[in-house]
Order: sequence, then C-alpha cells, then structure tokens
Amino acid sequence: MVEAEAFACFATPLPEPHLLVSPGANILAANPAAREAFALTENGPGEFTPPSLAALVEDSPDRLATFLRSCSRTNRMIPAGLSLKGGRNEGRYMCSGARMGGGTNGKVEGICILLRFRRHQEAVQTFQLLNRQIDRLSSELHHRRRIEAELRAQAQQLREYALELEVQRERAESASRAKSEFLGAMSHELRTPLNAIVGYVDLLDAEVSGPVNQRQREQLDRIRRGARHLVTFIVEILEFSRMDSGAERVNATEVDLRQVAQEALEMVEPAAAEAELEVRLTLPADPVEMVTDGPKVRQALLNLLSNGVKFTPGGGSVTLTLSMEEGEEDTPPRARFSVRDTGIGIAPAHDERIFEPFWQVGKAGRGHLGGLGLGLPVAREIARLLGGKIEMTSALGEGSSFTLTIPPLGSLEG
Amino acid sequence: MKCILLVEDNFDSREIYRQVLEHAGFRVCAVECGGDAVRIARERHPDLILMDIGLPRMDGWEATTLLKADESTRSIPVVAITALTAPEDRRRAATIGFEGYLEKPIAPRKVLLEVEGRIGKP
Repeated sequence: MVEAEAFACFATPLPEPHLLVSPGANILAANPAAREAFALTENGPGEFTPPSLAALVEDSPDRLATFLRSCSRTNRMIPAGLSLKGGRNEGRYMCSGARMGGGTNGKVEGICILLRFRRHQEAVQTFQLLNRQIDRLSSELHHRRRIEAELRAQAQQLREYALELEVQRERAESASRAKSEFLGAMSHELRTPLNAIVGYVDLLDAEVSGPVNQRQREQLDRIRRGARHLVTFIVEILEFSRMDSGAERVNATEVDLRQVAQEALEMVEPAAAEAELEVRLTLPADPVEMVTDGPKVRQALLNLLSNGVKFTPGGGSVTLTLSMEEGEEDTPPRARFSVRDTGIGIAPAHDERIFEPFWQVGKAGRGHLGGLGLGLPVAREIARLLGGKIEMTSALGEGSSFTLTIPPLGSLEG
Repeated sequence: MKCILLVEDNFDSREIYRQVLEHAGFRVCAVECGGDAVRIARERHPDLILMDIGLPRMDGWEATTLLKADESTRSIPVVAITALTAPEDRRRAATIGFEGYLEKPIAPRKVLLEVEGRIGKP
C-alpha cells in the first residue's frame, strides 16, 4: 500500500511511536518506535500481531471508534488521551490523529489515519520540569528585582548624603572664609588706632613737641610696651588662625638658611636685651642652600627664640645652632635648627601641653609671662607644613632645647 | 628742601607723620585721597610719596598704578604705609611697583629712617 510505504519513509527515524490505522482500528503500518513501545510484531506487510489498535487500548471500543471516526473526517490534528494496556510502556498516552490520504475514488475504504503517540507521563514530566524551571527563574527574578530596588534606594540615599555633604562642606568653607575675613578686618581695624598710640608716643619721646623729663620718658616707654604687646597679640592670632583654617600656602624657593637664622635672631635681640639675656648664633661656614619657605622658617625660629627668651631669667642665654643632618637611605640631608636656653625648663607632665594652642604654664594655664600661648603650636604647624618636625628635650631647672628639622621641599614622599 | 607727598586719610596718622618729617626738615604736602595724590604728584613732582592704601574714592593701589603708568611720575619712589599685612597684599604692592612697604603700627621715627634711607637728608 502506497500510504504505508510513504509512512515508512518518514516515520521510521522518528523517536515517538507512530501508527497508520484504518478507521476500523486495524494496524496498517508501525514505525520501529511503535513496535518497541507496543510490542508489535509484523508477520507480513500490513499484518501485525496484534492486528488491531483496540487490542492495545484499555478505553472502551466505542470511545476508540468515536475518536477514529473524528480523525477520519479531517486532516487537521485531533487529540485524545488513550490508555494502553500492559506491555513495556504501560500507561496513558496523548494521541494525536488525523486522516491521511484516501483512495482516488474518495471511498471510505481508502482512508487511513496517522496516529502519533506521546507518553502522558513524559509530557507531564517535561511540563512539570518546565513549570519548575519557570517557577525557579521567576523566584530568582523576583529576588533580583528586590535587590535592584534596594540598590536603587541605596544609591538614592548615597546621592542625598553626597548632596548633604556638599552643603556642609560649602557651609564649612564659607564659615572659614568668614572667619578669615573677620580676622583680617579685625587686624586692620586694631592696627589703625594702635598706630596713633605708637605714633604719638614716639613723637613725644622724640621731643618733637617739646622737651620730656626722665619720668615722662619712662611712662612713654611703658605705653610703648603695652602697644607692642597688643601688636604681638594681633599678629599671633592672625597667624594662628590662618594656620588653623588651612589657608596658609607654602612658597618654596631656594634660600640660604644661615640668613634666615640670622634674621630670626636679630628680630628677638631687642626682647633679649631687655631681659638681660645673651643670644648666641652658631652657623656653618658654608652656605646652607635649600628649597623651602624662608619666611615661615624664620617665623618658627622666632617663636622658638621668643619662648626661650620669655622663660629664661636674666643673666642666662639662648643659643641658636644650625647644622645639616644626614638623611637615612636615599633621603636628602635635612636642616637642623636647635634653640637651647638656660631657662626654667619644662616639667614632663607638660611635654605635650606646651604645644596646645593658648595653653601656658602657670596658674590655671594662664600665662603670667605674657603672650597668647600660640608660639609653639604655630611653630609646630609650620614644621608640619614644610614636611619637618619639632622635638623638645627639657628638665625642670635645667633649661630646654627645641629642635626644628626640615627637609628640602620637592623631595617629600607621598 | 626736599618735598614729601603724604597720602593718608586718617587724621592721627597724617598728623604724626607730618610732624616727624617737618621736624626733621622736610617739606610735607598732605592729601587725603588717591585722586588728589595723582594730581599733586603730577603738578609738584615730590621727592618721595608715602601712600596709605585704604583711601576714599580712589585707593592707594589705583593711585600708585596710575603714577607708575605715567612717564612723568614713574620715577618718584612710592612707599606704602598700611594696616594691610597679609602676604597677598605685599605681593600685590610689589607687582604694582611700590618701592617700599611699611606695616602699621609703625613708629614715626622709623618712617623718617625709611625716607632718609631712600632720598637722603632734607
């Protein structure tokens, strides 16, 4: 039979059982998968044991007949669920059937029906597998969406923090600027009336407006000292404020440090003379040229020297020594300034406190020797700005030694 | 007799410097704003100008810039006497062409020393 031959051609390699049956359920052809699944044997062409599909199914013959009748009417696919008995693959099958061909005369006898069998169990299993996988993936996607939402929320949070930080930073900078401007204005405003005081005192002392007796001269001197203290306060406060707000910039140039030391010493000489102290300077014979901020080094040295003068009783001395110190390994040599005094010394308990802004030795931390207590903090900050440090050794009653060490700038690591 | 042009708007400062300079023998011409300073400098060619910075209408920066730009007044030494003490101010003065920079408060005898140091005795 032609249909059987054509069937054999296409259905043989297919993995699913396929049958060709008559509308009366006689098996006309079977592919190898069907023979194996349903334990069919072919005795001769088109002759099988068992010969009828009815023998294989458990469903009622009426049901089978109805199904085959539907199939015989159309070449569209008709689905049905059939239970097959016994054999190696017992169980329910999803069966799809449709009319295949017919005799040229269109008679019913020529109609045969193509049936494809799919194990229900397999279909269920693959369906369930698919279902599970979809389930799992959905679950994962849910999880992922949740995490994404959280991340978005956190990113938003971070953006808000960043904005807040920016606001705070601007506020802080603005406050710092305002403070600097205020102090700058204060300095200017204080210096103008001070100029009048200093000016008229000097004019009187110079006897421009007439002679001045000894007692008047002494009184003028007292006024002058008071004015000088005021000026020192203004200078120190301003300097400290600039350091504190980080407004100070380093201007690095090549300088001869011997000259810087000389200048600092000259600036402290008047105060030393007044306190009846000797100031000594020990410098190397050769120039000490180095790249650093000369004026700042001079300021730090002046602060150290002033402190030495302040805390040394009359008859004593303050010595400034400059030397070069070899660096370790590949670091260049550093400059070493040492300010040694024969003064009252510093108690070990005060070792760190002396570097605290405004702290001064004496009752309740208030200086009894004048000054604001900013000299050392400023000197230490300068040392830090220039990449160096200040060290101190002292003993009560034996004087103190402050050492400022600075490296050449442009050679700092990190 | 050498002539000093004193530019200072504060009464006390003006009086103090004028007295110490006249007492030393200099002739002093005192004005209170930058505009007058430029005009007098062009008219009278003083030997030295003492310039305050904080002045009404035209300040010391502007006045000195004009003086240094003008061929006829460029060579007159200008020394600042000011309560401005920030490093930026000193740098600005150097850039504009001030020959000297004195910080207030300053004893008038020191001002006299600075003047005589630059242009000699009256």
